[in-house]
Amino acid sequence: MRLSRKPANSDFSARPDLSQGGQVLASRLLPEVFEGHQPGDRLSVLDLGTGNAKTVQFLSQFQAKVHFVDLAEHAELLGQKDLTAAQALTTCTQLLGLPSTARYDIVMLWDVVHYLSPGMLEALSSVLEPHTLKHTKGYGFGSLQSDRIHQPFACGIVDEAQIVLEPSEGLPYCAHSQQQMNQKFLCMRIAKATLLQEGKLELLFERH
Amino acid sequence: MFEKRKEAAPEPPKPAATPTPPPQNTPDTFTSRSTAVIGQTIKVKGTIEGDENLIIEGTVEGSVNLPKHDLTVGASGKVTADLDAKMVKIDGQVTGDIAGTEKVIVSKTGLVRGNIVAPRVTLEDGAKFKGSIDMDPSDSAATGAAKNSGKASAHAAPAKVESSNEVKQEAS
Repeated sequence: MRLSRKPANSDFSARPDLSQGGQVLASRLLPEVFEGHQPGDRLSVLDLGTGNAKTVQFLSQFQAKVHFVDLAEHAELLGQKDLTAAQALTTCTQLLGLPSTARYDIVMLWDVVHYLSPGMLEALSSVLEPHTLKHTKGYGFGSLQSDRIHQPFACGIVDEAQIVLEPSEGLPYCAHSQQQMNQKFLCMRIAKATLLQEGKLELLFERH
Repeated sequence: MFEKRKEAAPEPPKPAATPTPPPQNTPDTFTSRSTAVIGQTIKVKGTIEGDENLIIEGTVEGSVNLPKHDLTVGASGKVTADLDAKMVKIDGQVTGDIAGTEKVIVSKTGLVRGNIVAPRVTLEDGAKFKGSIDMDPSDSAATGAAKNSGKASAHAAPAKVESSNEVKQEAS
């Protein structure tokens, strides 16, 4: 994994999206997620966040098939720590409800993984694994300090180099450490991490 | 006695009769006779088919098939049905799969739980959507592909309501 720290006012210039009350952030890793994909390509995307207008608008150029599953809605259920591995797997499978034949080029994890208990994170990895391809890439958030409390955001893709974070009614969360992620989220590994703002990291995931 | 005869002023030539163009129907301007309305207090269970545009302001369970026409689910509309139309605009609530041969729009007041198949899909800011969106026109033959793809498909008794006359009621 490569971690690069950049000051928030250089590469990651945050500016308010005044029309929607959200923040548009420049992303260094999102271009790598879409690397090799051209407009007109058929893309299959799994987005574990809220259905977002900007994401749909951006992905329309790829004639994409986008599957939205807002896992943060089930944060309390996903945070349960007393479930057996089998129960966690069943719960996760039911909540995701992915078609058995679906294979995704891109998985947008956003910050959802941090609502999951370690057992549920492992279950999520197991559920996702058969739906990934060799070239599948993932994108999500992490934290520079695992005990830091982060506010929840509804996230979207503005373009291949910008994301938008909009205020959300979800619960604040503490992020899993990267060590925990690497131990429990086995279907993909953290390939790169860069600092966004307020201790938030953006993470690029790739298949092992 | 000698009235001046006023020469009748020649009538201005009448313009050649031109056919009046038919009113254009768009989802935002459903005002012509060819638009049916299911009013706020109307509840329909079954299959709705027809050859005109349709606005749903009431409650519908079952399926709506208007492959050559436009369908709007108004802000007060509550639909648990699979929808198939040329252009679909959702201002209200829909649980079910939506196939649009041209376009599907989920407006800022819209809430959709289901799968959308259409070559062009617009989610307006504020729209709530859960499900999948397939924007490849060649993949689906848009009509009907969504119906087979998702778990949110809605089904109801096959009672058939033809066209608009039996269900027409202006929204109050």
